Amino acid sequence: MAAVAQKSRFGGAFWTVLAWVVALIFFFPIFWMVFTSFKTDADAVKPEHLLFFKPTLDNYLNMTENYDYWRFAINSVITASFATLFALIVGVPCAYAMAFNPSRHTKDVLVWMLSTKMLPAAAVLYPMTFLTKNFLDVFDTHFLVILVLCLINLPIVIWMLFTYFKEIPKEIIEAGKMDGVSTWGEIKDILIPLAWGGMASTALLTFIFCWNEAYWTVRLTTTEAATLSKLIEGNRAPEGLFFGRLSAVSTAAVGPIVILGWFCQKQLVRGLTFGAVK
Amino acid sequence: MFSIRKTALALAIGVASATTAASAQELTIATVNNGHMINMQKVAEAYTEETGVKLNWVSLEEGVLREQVTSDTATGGGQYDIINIGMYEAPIWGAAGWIEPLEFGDDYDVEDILPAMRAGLSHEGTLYAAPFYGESSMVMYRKDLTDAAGVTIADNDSWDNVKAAAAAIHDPDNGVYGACLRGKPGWGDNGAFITTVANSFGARWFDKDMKPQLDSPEWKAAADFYVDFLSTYGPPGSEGNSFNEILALYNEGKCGLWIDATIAASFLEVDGVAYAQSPNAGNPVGANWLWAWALAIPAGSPNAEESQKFIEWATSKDYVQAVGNHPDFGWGSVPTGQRASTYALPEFQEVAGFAAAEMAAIESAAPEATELKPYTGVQFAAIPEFQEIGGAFGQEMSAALSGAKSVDEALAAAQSAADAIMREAGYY
Amino acid sequence: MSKRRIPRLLQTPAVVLLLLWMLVPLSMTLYFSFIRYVLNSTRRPEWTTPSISNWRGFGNYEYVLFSARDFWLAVQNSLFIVVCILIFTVILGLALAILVNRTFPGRGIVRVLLISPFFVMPAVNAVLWINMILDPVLGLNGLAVGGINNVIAGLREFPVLGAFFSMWPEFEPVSFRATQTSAYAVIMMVTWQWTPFAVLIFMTSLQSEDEQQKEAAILDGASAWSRFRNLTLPHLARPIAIVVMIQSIFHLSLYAEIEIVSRGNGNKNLPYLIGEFTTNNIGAASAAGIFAVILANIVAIFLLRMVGKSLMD
Repeated sequence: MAAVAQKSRFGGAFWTVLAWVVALIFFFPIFWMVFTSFKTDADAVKPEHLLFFKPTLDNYLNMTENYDYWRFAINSVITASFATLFALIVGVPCAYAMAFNPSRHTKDVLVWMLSTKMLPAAAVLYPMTFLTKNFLDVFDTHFLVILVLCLINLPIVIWMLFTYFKEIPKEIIEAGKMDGVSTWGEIKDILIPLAWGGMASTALLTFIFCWNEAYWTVRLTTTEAATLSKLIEGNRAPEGLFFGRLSAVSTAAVGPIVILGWFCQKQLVRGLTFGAVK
Repeated sequence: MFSIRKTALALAIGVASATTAASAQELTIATVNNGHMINMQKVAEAYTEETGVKLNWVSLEEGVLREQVTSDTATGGGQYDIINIGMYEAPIWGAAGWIEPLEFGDDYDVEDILPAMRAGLSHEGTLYAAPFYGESSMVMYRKDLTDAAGVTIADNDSWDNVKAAAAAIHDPDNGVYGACLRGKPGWGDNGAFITTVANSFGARWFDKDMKPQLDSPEWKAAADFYVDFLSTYGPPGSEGNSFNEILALYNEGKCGLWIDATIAASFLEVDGVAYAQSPNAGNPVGANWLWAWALAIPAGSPNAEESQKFIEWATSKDYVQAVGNHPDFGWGSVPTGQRASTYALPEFQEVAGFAAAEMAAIESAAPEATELKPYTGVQFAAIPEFQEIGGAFGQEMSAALSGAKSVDEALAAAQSAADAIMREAGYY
Repeated sequence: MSKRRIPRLLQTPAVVLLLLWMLVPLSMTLYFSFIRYVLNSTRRPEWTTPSISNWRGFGNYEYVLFSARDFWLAVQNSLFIVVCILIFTVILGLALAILVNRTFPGRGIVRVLLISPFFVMPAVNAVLWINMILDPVLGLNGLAVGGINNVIAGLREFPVLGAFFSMWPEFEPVSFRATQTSAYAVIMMVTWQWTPFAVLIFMTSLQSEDEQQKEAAILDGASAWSRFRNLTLPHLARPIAIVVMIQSIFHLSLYAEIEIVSRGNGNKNLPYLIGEFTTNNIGAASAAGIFAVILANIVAIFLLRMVGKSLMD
């Protein structure tokens, strides 16, 4: 008995160490990026300064001074938040109807919605530029970025919500109906409180996808609505040495979302079920 | 005839004119994210102060800038008042009527702009873009190593001599590679360099019927030489190296010699750099390339007048003075390669050891179409289809360099791609 | 109001929005794919205006399929990259999820570290990996190989052992931008970014695993492997399906990574091929776009019909 306990304690220690090692390996590139952001561009490529160097904040100062970091950051926050919000506003009723009043076609509609997500963006880039710039005159507006981000994430939002809603016993909603609660009342007073956790996870994931979207946000904006992904595009290969600069810009661009992810880690771990947990 | 574009244009202009009143004092400028352009944002604060014109800057990576500016201009413009284009776009876009011709007052002294630059940025004698800074290419090498090895590199040396010099200083065990050259795919990356090699071997991109010539013996000789040279004496991973990567390597002392843009000289932080004009076997196109980042106005821009004024200021002699006297920058940071007068400034000569070599390189380049090559451009052909052709060519050459394909296979594939593109475009 | 009408009404905004989003640009793409349409042409200026008089029938499709370069490479590679990433992320994700599902000191921190890559922007991911980690001279890859070579060179100096080490070759760092290797670089960096996503999903469902069943199996003397094989894996079948589906959706349209690693050299997918045509030839780009839509739909049919539908029950 003692031997077994011994063995499992040793085994436990081994797995713990392994988990830590793997986690550190996975995190290393991000650490390295943050680390490099405090080096000058010249130091960043010098092997003799690989680990030891004079740390500097110049890269961050340069970024805020010459590249107007805050404007991009604020745009990212605005567009990602509103896109998430609108995706939920449009998605919740739709998923509600699909989950509680399914018709013969519900599954097909869901499958079709997901398949719109597979359409390659590059295939419609030119028509989109054309339409938004010359016909609708909404190019480079927050409205357009929010709309596009909302639309490209809508299928996933609906699907996730659908799976959460399906887990809610139908009887609860039926009981509400008996009491003469309106549809809106059902959603507001019964559904949302019950599916709160799932909705929060959906919102989080959508926000992350919006923040990191880099195809449309780069190509449908110029200055007004440009987000952090555009700042990255401008800095990913400037002329000259740039590892230090780029690391700082990258750190500043992914920093907020990584920290948000850390805080909401528990929510994500619990919430990303996609209906897989029965 | 149903035409979306014209309707769109009319619509766009309608909308634009409705909003002009508010935006007349505001210019949106798209630039490539290079040092001189970023400096301009600071220097131009004085311009804003003086004229009250507010400037919005969009700085982008070269490829993304090209993509964005092209899609905007091709759909009738409207997003940018001033665009930063290269020597490749200027003549093509001028011919297509996408950008406005530029006319400047006497103070501006157009004659002072280096003739090669003017030629490269014009279409049928009309200037369509004003050079903000320009460059050619040249050999940069470590004098300490060549001296120690007892070899020399002369101006317009033969390729064999340059190769012998690289062989003499090649010492990979101590981390020094004989030659660092561009290998990263892209018509402006490895394509630019290989074309200059090909030019010096007497090759050309197209014949007088615009048929691609990549299957010619001259191209074969040039490509063979390039692949052999770089794979023997280049650093590992050369197929991914372009300007930035090699700059880092050179500053680390890992390159014996480097043939690249003259602008590199102002980035080099090591001592003992010597310069030589690019190797040449006496071809008339020049041994080196010719490039400029220039400023242009998209056609139909509602702020054309203000834009023209800004361009006039940003590419003037005064601008050079403004950078030279700016507390943050100084004479080492002035844009070069655009005006003869810049090279005559004693303050500039003092800090720029490479000035003479750069000016000579630029002056020897001949971008105009000739009997020999029926297209404008030195390291590219100024036709709309070249981006695609050059892109395919760059990928093939990179594949040849890393040994995924033989040089013959790569050239054949590039030739057939080029042929398909030219046929598709209706040339023959 | 009838019982049917309200649910329909509730679905309408989403359905209409997605329909518009899909149909409007797509029908323009379809139209462009049947006409001659180039952004700029010195020989044929009439082609620069999208007009029905430039009708070309299936000419653009023929050009993309038979004359232009790399179509099949792009199709093959699109699938190759996606399949490799899927295999790696699922296996790694499973292993890691099981590894961190136990309670141990610092589990919260380990999880946080482990899922961080998922929040990194694709372009940042690509630039970070290809320049600072994988570069064969200046990146950690090059420095590490250089370091190993130096150590071996040092060992050669030893009296007896030196003879043994002098038989060792000098290591050459692998260049990840080459034609032969660039696809692997993309696979590596995307796997790094998306493994955390798989971990998240697997972890969630591992927590709902029936512990009693497991304990019973332990008492029955089932080995760890057979417990995993017979209990955990079936339990994870649905989450695996979800990971596969969501990732296929995202990875079929990889773009930034391919551009940054090798400019499409030796490694391009359909979106990148379309991007190459878009420099001038919009007609061909649109035809390639329609092919990409078809490919996406084939994949969608496989995935959604086989995997997705069962998920919705």
